[in-house]
Amino acid sequence: MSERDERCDFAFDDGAYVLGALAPADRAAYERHLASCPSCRQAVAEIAALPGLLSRLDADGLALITAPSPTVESRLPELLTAAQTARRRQRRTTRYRYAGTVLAAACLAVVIGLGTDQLLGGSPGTPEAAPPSASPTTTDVQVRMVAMEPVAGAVPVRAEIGLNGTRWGTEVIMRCEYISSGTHPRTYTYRLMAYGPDGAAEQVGSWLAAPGEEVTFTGATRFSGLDLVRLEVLRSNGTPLLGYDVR
Amino acid sequence: MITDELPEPPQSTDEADRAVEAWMVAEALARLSSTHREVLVECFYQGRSVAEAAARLGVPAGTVKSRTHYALRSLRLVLAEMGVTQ
Repeated sequence: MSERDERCDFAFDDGAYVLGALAPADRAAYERHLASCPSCRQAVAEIAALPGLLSRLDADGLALITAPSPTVESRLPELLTAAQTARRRQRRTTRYRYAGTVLAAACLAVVIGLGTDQLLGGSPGTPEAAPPSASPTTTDVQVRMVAMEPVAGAVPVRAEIGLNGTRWGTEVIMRCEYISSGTHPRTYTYRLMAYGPDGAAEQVGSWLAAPGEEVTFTGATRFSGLDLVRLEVLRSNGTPLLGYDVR
Repeated sequence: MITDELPEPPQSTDEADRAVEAWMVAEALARLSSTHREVLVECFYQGRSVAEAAARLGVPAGTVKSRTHYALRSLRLVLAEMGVTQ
C-alpha cells in the first residue's frame, strides 16, 4: 500500500468505489482508469471484501453503533439479540448495495478476492427460506445476476450468472444471449462448466445458441461455498468463451 | 425456477454465527475513529453518494473519497488486530 503512487488522480477513489458511492459517471471513469492502473487495481483488491463484511451488520446493530455514548462491549447482549432477530428481515436488502461493485469488478476481470458468500448470498447451509407452510417465500428469493467476462477477446455471446448457495451445492442460474451480428450466423453448442478445488470440473448444463436468442436455465453443481472457484461458458470443442471467478 | 423449499437446517448454529459476525463488525466499527466510522455509515449503510455524503458532512467530495480510502484501510487493520481473516 505504501508504495502506491499517490500522485495518481484516482488514488483515493477505491474506497468510494467498493462502497458503491461513486456517481455513475465517476464510476465509469474510475473503471476505465482501473484497466490501465495496476496500483489502483491492487488498491481495490485490498478492500473488495470489506463491503461484504460490513453488510453483516444489520440495521438494528447499526443503530446501536451510531448511537452516542456507551461502548459496544457494554451493549453486546443487546446487539446479539438485535442481530438474531433482525437478520432474517434484513438479510436481503443489504446485499444489493454492492451489486454494482461486484458487477463492475467482474467486467474488468479484476481479481479481487470477493468471498463466495457475497455472490452466494446466504451462507451455505442457509436455505433462504422458512418451511413452505410458514411463509410466502416463493417470491422472496432474488438471486443477483452478474456478467461473465470474455476469456479472450470479443465473443458473440453474453452471459450472466446468479448463484444460490445451498446445503447440497450451488444453484446456478444462467442467462445467455447469443448476439446476432451476421458474422457469427451459426448455431453453436455451449456448455457451462463449474470448477472446484484442484482443477475439478463439472458440467452444469449445455444448450444450443442461435443468433438473437436468449437462453435462461437453472442448473446445479455439487461445489458449494468456498469450493466453487470458477464458472465458464465453453464451446462444444472446449474453447472457453466467458468466465467468472467466484473466488 | 428457484426453489427455496429446501430442507431446513438447524438454525441455532447459523444464527449464532451471524450474531457473532454482526458483533464483530460492530466491534470493528467501534474501534475506528468517529470520522472514519461516519463516512462508512454515510457511504455504505445509508447508501449515499460521495456528493451526498460531502454535503451532509460539510466537507469537499475529495475529502469524502480520501476518508473512505483511509477508513477502509483502518478497518482492515482493525480486523487483522481482531484476528479476522478476510
